[in-house]
Amino acid sequence: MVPIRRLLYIFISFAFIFSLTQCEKDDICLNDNLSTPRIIIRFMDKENPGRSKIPNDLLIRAIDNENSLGINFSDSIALPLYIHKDFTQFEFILNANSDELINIDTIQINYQRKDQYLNSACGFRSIFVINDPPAYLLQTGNDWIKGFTIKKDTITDETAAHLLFLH
Amino acid sequence: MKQLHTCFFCISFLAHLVQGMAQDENIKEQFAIKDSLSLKAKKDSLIAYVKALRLGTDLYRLIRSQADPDFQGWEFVTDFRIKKELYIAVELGNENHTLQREQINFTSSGSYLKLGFDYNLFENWEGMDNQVYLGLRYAQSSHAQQVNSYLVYNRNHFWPDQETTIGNSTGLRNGLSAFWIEVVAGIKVQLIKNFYMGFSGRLTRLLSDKKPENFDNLYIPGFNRKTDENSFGASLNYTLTYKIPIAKIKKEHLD
Repeated sequence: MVPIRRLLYIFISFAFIFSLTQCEKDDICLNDNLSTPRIIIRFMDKENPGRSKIPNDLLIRAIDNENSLGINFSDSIALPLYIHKDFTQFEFILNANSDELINIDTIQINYQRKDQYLNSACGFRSIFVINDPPAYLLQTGNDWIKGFTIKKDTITDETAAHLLFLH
Repeated sequence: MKQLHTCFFCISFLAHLVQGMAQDENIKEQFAIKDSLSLKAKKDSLIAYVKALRLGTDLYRLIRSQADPDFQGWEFVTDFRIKKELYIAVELGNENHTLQREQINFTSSGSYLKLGFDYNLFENWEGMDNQVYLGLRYAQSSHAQQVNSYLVYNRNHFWPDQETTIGNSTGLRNGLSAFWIEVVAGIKVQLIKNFYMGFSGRLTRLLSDKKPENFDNLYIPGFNRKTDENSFGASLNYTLTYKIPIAKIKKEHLD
């Protein structure tokens, strides 16, 4: 009987050692550069489309979302697109702090979403292809944004402008 | 249903074998009475080992299929003794496993075949036949990956995170395969006559795999989890096997 008992000890210790190897480290997504990109919109001068022009006292709100967009005022802004629809609507408010000069343009941006596999920890990210035409005003009349130009129709990063707004 | 049928088949197959062997033993015993004890002992001492085929199943996968709703699988195991300490070993299995990773829920399904040998290191007492062994396997799988749902990775949380369950990158990717080798360490202990209980742990190394389109083989049937960092993995089985003796190999005459 002794050898069988000895075998059982080996059996148990094997099982124990093996259960240790089954532990695995936590998968944490450490990929900062390859997140779902936002669309970069650059404001251009309608008289001189080659030159950027910062809109006066601009405020941007998304339709159906109360969260703050946290926009830094410059000639370019980055806006997060809603991935579960093929469009996102934003209000672009010019002269937001002036009761007389305030001008709200509601704009719908249209795109196709594609999902790209990154790795097991991060999973998939979305990239976008902007439709042509890229955007339109939801109500016209007294609008301050006069036109849209696609600069780069595939949104894969946030390094350069994808869409130009003329005003 | 398919698994259940296979299970029934294995059990009835084993039961049939046990019955057959029992009858065989009865006949042997009748003859043994006629033989003198000393003669029998002399005969036994001339036998080096019994060439035998061992058939069985992996209990781990069978029990897990009952206990874990996300796992369905079976593994048929067999080995054949070709030298005193050397066995040819084969494992054939099928798995259907649904896993939840950080961002992705997916199902990996398919079959695998492992071929190789075991070398026994255990010095048995006369007439005993237990094993502590090391072995090598070459294995391959034929499988499919189905992405059920996922959460898109987005560092910007302006819009609420919502799972994608249809369209986009969800769906089935089939026609996949993987090739790997395994270093096996295990034991087999005879519980009752001709029945063996076994355990083996396996360190695996992936040689190559055909990756699914816009996804990865995060789990491979028979191989287990595949990690991004390296191509090493681990797997195990707990086996119950039945030995069918085929031929008694005599010791070479040394005296």
